[in-house]
Amino acid sequence: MKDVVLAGVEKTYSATSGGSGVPAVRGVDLTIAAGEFFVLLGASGSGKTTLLRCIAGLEAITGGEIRIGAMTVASGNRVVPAVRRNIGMVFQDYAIWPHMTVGENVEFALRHARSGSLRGDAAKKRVLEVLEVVGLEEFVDRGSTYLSGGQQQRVALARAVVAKPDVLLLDEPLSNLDARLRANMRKELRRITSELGVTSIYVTHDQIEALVMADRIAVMRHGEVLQVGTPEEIYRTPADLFVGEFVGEANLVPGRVLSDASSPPECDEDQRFVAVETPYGTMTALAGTGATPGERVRLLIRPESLHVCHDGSAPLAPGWNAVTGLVRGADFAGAHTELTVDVDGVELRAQAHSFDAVSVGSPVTLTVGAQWVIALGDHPTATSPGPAAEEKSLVERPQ
Amino acid sequence: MVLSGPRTGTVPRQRQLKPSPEARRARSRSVSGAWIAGIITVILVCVPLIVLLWSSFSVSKTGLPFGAGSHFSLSNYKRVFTDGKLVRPIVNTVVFVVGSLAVGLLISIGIATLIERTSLPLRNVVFALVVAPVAMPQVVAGIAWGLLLDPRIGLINQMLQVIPGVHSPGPLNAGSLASITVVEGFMLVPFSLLLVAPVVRSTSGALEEAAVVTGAGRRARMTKIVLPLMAPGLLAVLVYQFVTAAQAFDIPAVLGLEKGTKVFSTAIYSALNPAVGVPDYGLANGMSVLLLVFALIPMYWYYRMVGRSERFAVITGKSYRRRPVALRGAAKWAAFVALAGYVFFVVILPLFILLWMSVQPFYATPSISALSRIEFDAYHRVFTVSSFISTVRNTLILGALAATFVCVIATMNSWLLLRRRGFFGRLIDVFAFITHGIPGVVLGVSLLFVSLTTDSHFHLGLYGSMPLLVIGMVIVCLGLTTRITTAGMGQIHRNLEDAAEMCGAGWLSRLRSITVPLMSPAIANAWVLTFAYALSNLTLTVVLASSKNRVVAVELYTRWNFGDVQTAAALGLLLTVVSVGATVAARRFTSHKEIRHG
Repeated sequence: MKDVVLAGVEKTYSATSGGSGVPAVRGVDLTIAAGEFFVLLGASGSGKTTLLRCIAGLEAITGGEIRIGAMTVASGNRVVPAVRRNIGMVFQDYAIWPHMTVGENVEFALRHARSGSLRGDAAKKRVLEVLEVVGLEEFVDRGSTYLSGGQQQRVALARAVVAKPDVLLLDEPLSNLDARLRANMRKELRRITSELGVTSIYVTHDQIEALVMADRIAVMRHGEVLQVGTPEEIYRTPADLFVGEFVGEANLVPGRVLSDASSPPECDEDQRFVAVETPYGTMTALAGTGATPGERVRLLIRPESLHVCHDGSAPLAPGWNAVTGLVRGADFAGAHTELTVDVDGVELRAQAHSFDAVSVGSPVTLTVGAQWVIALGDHPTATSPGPAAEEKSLVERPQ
Repeated sequence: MVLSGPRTGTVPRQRQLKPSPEARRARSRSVSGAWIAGIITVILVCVPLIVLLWSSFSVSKTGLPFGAGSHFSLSNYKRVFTDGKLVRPIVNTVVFVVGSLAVGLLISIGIATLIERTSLPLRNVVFALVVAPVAMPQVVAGIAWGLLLDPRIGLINQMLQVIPGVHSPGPLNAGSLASITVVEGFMLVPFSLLLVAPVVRSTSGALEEAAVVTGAGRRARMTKIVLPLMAPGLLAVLVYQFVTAAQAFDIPAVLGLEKGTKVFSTAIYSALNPAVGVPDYGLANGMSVLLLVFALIPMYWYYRMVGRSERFAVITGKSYRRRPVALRGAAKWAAFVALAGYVFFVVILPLFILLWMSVQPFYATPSISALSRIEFDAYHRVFTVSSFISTVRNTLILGALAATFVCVIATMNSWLLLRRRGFFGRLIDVFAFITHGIPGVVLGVSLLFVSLTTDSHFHLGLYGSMPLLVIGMVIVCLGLTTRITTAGMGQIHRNLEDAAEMCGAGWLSRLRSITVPLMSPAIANAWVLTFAYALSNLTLTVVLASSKNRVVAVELYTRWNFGDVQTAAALGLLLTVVSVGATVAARRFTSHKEIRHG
């Protein structure tokens, strides 16, 4: 179990013919604690997989430094080859060797282990041990092509951890599984990694996966890290609009910051609040990046944080915001009903309990605590490389 | 990526931390053995050609390149252009190349159209029969046609002599320029068909769809859609086969050389092996350089064209629904008779005449009375006479060694090309590909000069030796083999190797435990094809022949020239059986041993 430190890591692919190179990772600083389950979250093309491959040693960095524990594995002019980094890796397509049995796949890693290769009975014993952890001990002699996706996934994991690596890298390991299996495997993966106590770095584009599994998340875009934090921090107080929209459903209400506002009761004293002028009147919001008086902002409100009152009994506590509108749509989604509410010509999404009888066309009042409304500067983030790339990110954004 | 970059997994760590700017760009992957193979490729291609080029500008008293008192001179080239005896071969070569291409491509386009576009019965059988001779050694085919087209007792001539007014000898002459051109055309058909059929198949689908949608007239569809679509594919086939025809040796050598009909490649050979007098190395040298340029330029063009058109996937990869045109009445019968006639005369008859001649003590037209003279002495000789046995042994050793070496080098080259992707990898791919454009005769002459030079300076004993032959065969086969292994390795997802790297496996053990086992069908295929090719190759073996390295193809050729037709026919049949067997085995490998990749 070792920590991983990235300092100003750069990766630029050399241009194939003329022109300048393509930067895939730009100046990433991250410190991943020993034993932590760390998630790199981003859309495709955000550089997260490239960054993971740089840590693995499958790609050479073009700037900065990577340390694993006390060992500098890559810095400007020094490179420790992948085979000497003592890292286990699970690939997106599992990369199970089809010409070997399950046992042989796992044993291969043991035979080439950096920590000293095991052979013979000791190796067999260790292979069985690890297969037992992933629940595949009966499959040891099974040809690896005769396995389901989930089973291959477990073999890949067993192979990656059998040699007791310092760091475990996982590259979208669950993206090829169906939804139900994915949910199970999330828990399985977390159980296994914490059982082994290995430092894990997990790449995904699925925000739910990231929120459920991570100790901490780094959200990436265009090769840069936009925000690092616990899942709750990322979800509740995103650093900018991109992160806010990327990690979950969000209503974005346009507005302008009028002035600072006093903290509502029950809120931390050190949080700063602002009064924002919106199409629905003045609302109190938690001040996010770029929310200074006079600036244009957008208020980010998660649909589930809006309380829906359709019988006129809105519990309006001090510091709460309330708007009224007409229900335009009500989509039954099982556990809840997804509402589309028209408030003065602007649509807001909200969730009602599915037992509540909310009918289309009826008036409702939506209320929300000021701490669940985040005011974020409404302009392209300073870090974004330009309008063209902005456009690209819109295309790549899931949903 | 530069040559100073390689690191191996066994070097102590300190030495891997190179503070050079190159190392910063270099990837951390260890490499070593593959570079050696890459360098070997470059050496194999460059050294013979450099020696050839260099010695072409040198003249010495002995006539040998780099012989005593050699000095710079352009006289070798001057002689090529001023020697009156070379006008004929040059004109012959032009006629031969253009004519054989016309015959070969028109026949294969015709057959491809009938097979792919119409509802002709037995299409698949016809296709297999037309393609089958691809595995027949050309020297053997040449002998068969020599027997069929002999002006006096040739079977085809005797059939024609039934026509009133046609008398012996003739009307066809095996040694004439027309004969060798048409026979070479037949030789081009099987491989051309393999290349043309997918082009016709895909464009015919496009034709049908366009017709349904636009209702354009037949002529408009042809000129606006079909031809432009087929043009790149057909052009690629044309250029590729142009190179094949330009360097063709076996057919002109077997049929034309004795009768004095020379093309460029056989003229080079006869300058080295004149009927009387001493070898004229200088003339052979100058001509070789010219032939090399003649073949390499279109090859380079082809490489660029195909390099761009692995994307031709539009043409080969996509499957259109086949909507065969139903042939009716007379057209159907005419097409069927034409195909059956081709198969009978070009595929079956040559084999039959070989079989017949191998069991007859002397030339005899197949007849009931001749059946009583059937004997198997020739086959008996092949298996008992000691010189034959050593010839067969040499041949098998040549095939096995060349195939093994070439597969190792080709696999490494593919790895460099696909996994390293650097400039050097692409360069090596070009070098490997170029080998197809080096005419066999030219390579033979180059290696001959290499052996003469090294022997006179270092006394290695390369001249006329087996190792020289093996090296030559490796060079000749490198292009094709590298294509096969590259295709095979291209199917293996890179992650499978990366996963092994993450497990701590070094470069060699990744290749050995993961990549090679997974691409074993491709390697087996490449091995068997190279083996079969080395067995049937006459060009290189005859140019480099000596008493020490005699192989079956050379033995065949010599027997044929001495008039020992029976033994030549028997040997030829045996060689064909082995070659066809190996090719069929290679096909089995690729079709049945596909591994599903995780």
